[in-house]
Amino acid sequence: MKNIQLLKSVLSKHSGECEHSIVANDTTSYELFFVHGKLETVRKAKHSSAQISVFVKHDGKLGSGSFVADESATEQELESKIAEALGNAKMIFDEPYELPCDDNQSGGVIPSNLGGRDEKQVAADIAKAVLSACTQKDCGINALEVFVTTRVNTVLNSKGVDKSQTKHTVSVEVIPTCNAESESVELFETYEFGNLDEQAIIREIAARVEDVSMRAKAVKPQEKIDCPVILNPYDIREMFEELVSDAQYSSVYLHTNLHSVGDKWQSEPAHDKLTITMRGIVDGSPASALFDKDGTSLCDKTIVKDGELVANFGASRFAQYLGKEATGALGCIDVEVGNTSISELQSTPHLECVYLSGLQVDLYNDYIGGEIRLAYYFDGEKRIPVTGIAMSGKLSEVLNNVTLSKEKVVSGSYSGPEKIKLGKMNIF
Amino acid sequence: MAIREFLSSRVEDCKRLVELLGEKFAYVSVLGCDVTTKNVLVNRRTSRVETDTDSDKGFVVKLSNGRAFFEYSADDVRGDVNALAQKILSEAVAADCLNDSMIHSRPVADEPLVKDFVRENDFANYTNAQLLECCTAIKDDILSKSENVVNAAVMLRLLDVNKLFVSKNRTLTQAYTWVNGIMVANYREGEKMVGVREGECSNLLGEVMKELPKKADRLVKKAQKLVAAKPVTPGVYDVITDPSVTGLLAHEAFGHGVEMDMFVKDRALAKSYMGKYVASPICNMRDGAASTLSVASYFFDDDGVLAHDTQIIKDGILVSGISDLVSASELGTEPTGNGRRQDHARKAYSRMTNTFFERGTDKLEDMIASIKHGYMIFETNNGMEDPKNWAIQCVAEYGIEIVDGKLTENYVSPVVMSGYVPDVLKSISMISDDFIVEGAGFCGKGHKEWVRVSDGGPALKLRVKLG
Repeated sequence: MKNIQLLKSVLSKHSGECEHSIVANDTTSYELFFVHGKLETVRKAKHSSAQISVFVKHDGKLGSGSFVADESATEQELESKIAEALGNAKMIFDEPYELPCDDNQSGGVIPSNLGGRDEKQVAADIAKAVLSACTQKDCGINALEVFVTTRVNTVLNSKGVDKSQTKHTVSVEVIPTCNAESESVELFETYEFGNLDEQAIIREIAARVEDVSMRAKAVKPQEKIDCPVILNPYDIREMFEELVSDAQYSSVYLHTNLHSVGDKWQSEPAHDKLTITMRGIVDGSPASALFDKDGTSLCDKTIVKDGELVANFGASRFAQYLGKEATGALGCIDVEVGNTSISELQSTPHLECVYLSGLQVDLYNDYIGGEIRLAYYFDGEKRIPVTGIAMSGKLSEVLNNVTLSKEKVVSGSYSGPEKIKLGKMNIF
Repeated sequence: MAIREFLSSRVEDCKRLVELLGEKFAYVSVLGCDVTTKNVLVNRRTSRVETDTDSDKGFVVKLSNGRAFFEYSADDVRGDVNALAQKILSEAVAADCLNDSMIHSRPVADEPLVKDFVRENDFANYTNAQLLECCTAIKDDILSKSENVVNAAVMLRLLDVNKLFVSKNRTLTQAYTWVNGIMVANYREGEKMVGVREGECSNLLGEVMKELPKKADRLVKKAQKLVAAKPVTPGVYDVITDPSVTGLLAHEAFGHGVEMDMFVKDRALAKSYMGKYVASPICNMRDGAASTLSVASYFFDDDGVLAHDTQIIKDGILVSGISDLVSASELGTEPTGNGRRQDHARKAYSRMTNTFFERGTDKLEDMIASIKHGYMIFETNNGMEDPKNWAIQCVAEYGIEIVDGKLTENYVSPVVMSGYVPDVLKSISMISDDFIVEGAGFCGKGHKEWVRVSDGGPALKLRVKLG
């Protein structure tokens, strides 16, 4: 951000009355939008802004006030915003905590093979890879969006923290479509990568095109299905994101956590036991980061061991309130793989979900479920594409009946078993 | 001109940019955004006042020359406009290998109009201290109602929108505000915890600060009921939706399905159902920034098209879709004022605004009395559309069992409603004569591009699968 020096200069005038932090983000994005394989829109976006927080100790408490400054902010505007934030801070009576100090970790570039590559060519190459992957008769890619993004995140504070991290990512939204005789059907697929592997994209899209051709043939089962359910990486991620949110220090401090350290997520595991580690960096994950918005360097933490919650995690403020070690706001969920191969998971009757309208995971209501738009039902002999059904179960019972594949995948913030089989699900 | 200095001082820069780029492109527009926000949040153990932490300040230039559309988003246009124009021409381009694969688009209409739109607001009447005091008092009131309330959070979210649109023939400005008041309680009884919420919204801050505190009692009583709620036994039931769930149904069933960029992509089955019955003949549905006063009631959209009031379903027949400038250009239709961006750094798509079923003639008590066994379901949690194949999933926070025409004390939660859109809409047999539109929602396009929307309507009686 160009005017970060101005920000530092204006804030330094208030060093006697407050501590401060600056979280600046500079984002550049190059984007292509295709319809039926034709280029519809080309976009280039550059955006910079900074969130400034001031912290005032008063009456034995701590108050904070925040505002956002953009590139156009003048010294006078910044002075005015700081004055308002200081006024706001003096009305807040939170328990005191300290800003993180400089830990001599300066940041850097999050490992990625995207760095230094021409964004226009990267976007064009991805588009070419996706569109070339669709070779099936009657199938096509109705819509494709490609985003090539570079984000530079800088954190400074009045305790000496001054670090930056650069992250390169690619996001893709793809709509594979099959125009069958009876009807036209589609799937909705989104991907975000920290590394670019064009061949992997081609393989993935080809597999989804195969799936969409099966959706055209999918039927509503005539009889009730009663078997375990296999989830794909996207829905596995949804499930674990909801589960781990309960283990954050902030949830504990606000008494909104359902489970405490020592509680068992799996009270009577019939198959695999869950072990989950929150990580800062996972190779290829777009959720990877070196430090969080406080500037705390991220420190990996195993939070669930053999089905038992063994630790919480989270940012500096709530860690201090609880007297715990700050891990930083860890964004990557790493689930230990199991011992069963995918082919073994698939060898007995099961329902393998390909496309859900959205997996609903409700920790408080002990619920997991969703509407199934495409799944493969394996009855022990045949693999039948099915649609028009839904599933639900008691989350606590389902967690006692998970089987984890030994094959591993990275999908967004999740890394872990590529497939998970869930027992005790009701299909209707 | 009632917009703030950030935009008013840059009108001439925008006009100059349009002029310069107009030498190369047949259509050029510049949208300027200056959206400021204020969030005041108080919960049991922490508080904060944040200014502009989800604000939007910047410009987006849109270009068309009969082929693809090009956009360039920047934080500012002030300064060397010639240099900026050159930068746009060199950076908002495709790799050479894509030049032959661009669409062909129709010329974009640019009807002359110069106008400033303003909706008065009362934000200046209240200090941050008063907002904090209001939230703190409500939080304390909620906590005082039961020892089982483990946390209470109260938030006021103030939105203050300024926008500027400049093209060769149009210079438009708009200024309007919106306020959402939200209260949430976490309630614990033994091992069971529930989260409940209530909200109030208006274009006037004073209105929200007056009405929100009245809902604290209802919030805690609801938590006391829901902590004992059981899952619903999966099956097909006669169901009555409250206005919130009615709105979710409108939004997911036919809102997304008539966003006409989906027509261009052949992603919406509705395209081939224009003029056909898609719902019960007693159903009427609308969308539009000008259709009611709520969170999405702007005066012109992010393409500079004036707000519309669009009838989507008339007497059960699908009669219109909603479009942004690009999709209308590709389809050869008139844009309906539904071009919206999450912020200046994002693309505009065809998006919903205020979407609702129109009121009917039935009394709610008669609707309940008509059900032998079923549920009345309340409060939107989330939903997911499937415009191509018309599957639908709507998640409600809770339901109350109806037995022999009466609401019981049996609460169920969560409630997932799913089915095939025409089956669900054609099953609508009664529509109440009351009407509420709630302006607290956010809507994504797929899993991104979040914009503020409202939806609602009356209560509907229908037959649907719950699970």
